[in-house]
Amino acid sequence: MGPELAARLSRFLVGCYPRRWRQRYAVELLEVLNQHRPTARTVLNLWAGAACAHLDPAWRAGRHPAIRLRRWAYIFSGIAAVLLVFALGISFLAWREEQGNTGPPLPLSGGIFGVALSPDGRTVATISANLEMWDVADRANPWRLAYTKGDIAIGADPAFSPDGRVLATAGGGGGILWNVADPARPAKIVDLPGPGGVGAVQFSPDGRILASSYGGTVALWNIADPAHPARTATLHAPVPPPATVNFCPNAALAFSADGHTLTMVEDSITVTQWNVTGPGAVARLTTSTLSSIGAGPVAFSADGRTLAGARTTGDTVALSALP
Amino acid sequence: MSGGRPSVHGKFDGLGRFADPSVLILTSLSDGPKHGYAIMTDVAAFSGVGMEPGTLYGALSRLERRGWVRPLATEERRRPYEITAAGQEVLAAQLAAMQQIVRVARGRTATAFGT
Repeated sequence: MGPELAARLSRFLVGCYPRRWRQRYAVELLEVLNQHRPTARTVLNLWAGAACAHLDPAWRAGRHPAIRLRRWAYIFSGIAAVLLVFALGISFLAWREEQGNTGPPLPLSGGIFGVALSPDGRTVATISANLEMWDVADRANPWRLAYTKGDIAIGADPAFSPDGRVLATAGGGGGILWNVADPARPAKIVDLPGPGGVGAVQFSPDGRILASSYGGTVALWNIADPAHPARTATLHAPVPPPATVNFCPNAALAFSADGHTLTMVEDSITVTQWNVTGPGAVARLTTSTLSSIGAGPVAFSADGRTLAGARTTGDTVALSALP
Repeated sequence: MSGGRPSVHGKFDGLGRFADPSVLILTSLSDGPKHGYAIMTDVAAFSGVGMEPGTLYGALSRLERRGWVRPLATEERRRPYEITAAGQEVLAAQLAAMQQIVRVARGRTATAFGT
């Protein structure tokens, strides 16, 4: 450290002593510094002296309360400013991430396990481990509206309610009802329990009943109030799948157009139909076994009478007329 | 340091790291009032200790607060300090304690090293 810099730093450090200390000693200390030849050691020594004086209660005690208050105000406003900068930074990152979640289609990395078209044909919901909502009003330019993270685990086909305002998703983490009145902001309404995961979901044509299947069982929910689904019936298939495979993504549910009949196909081979005339009044109609569908995902036609099954080998789809 | 023997630090205890510079400053002021820079040069001359201004004024402010030195009227931005009666008393006690150490040290080193 050059003598000029040391002298300048030394004079600066004299100004760093507490105010009362300076009022008493600064003039004579500056005079000593004029005669002394300051070095780096002088600078360090003054720094330690100033720190000591600040810690000395004798130089603090007489300070006017307003000055002390002002000092604390400086300290707190400094901390507040740092916190504010952090908060703004985090908000900005969150905003940028949200912006990044909308846009044109991206190459698929993890694959899509389920897809559903909204009743008005303007929105598509896709399921990977996440729920993604797509604006497909312009078929040539689909646009991603929203992206939710990690709620679904491995999913199956979701289902829109007939009015398009509620979306039910099925997955290894259970079933979930989403408010999709604004498709750009899907909001989770409630979880639908399903031990080991929910394999399929379907709304009745009047939108008042939701069927969810898990492990050879179908639960019927009254969702007149979607926030408080009430379980009205539990239906058991005659041939439950092996206990080790509770979550069966290759399951599908369909209501008949009049809403009286519920059909479930599970594991692509067992088809069971129930008469669902109303909550609490259910009866099994038939159980049959189809061996021609294949082991891939399955779906019903709109009237619930034709079953389409994707084969896991090759790229063909099998269609079967149901009894 | 018990049993009535003089204690090296005694009243100097509260001075912390300024205890040793304080002995030097009080010693320097014993032959008459001096201002800050004069104390530094005098201490360097009789003890070889290069005292920095931060240390000098840290010690001076404490000595003044204890009433061991007294500031005099400023002369051209320099303020001389003089030792008080209380200052002379504690310095004498401190020197006696140090003398005791010197005496013991001399005796023991003479036995050990034959000096």
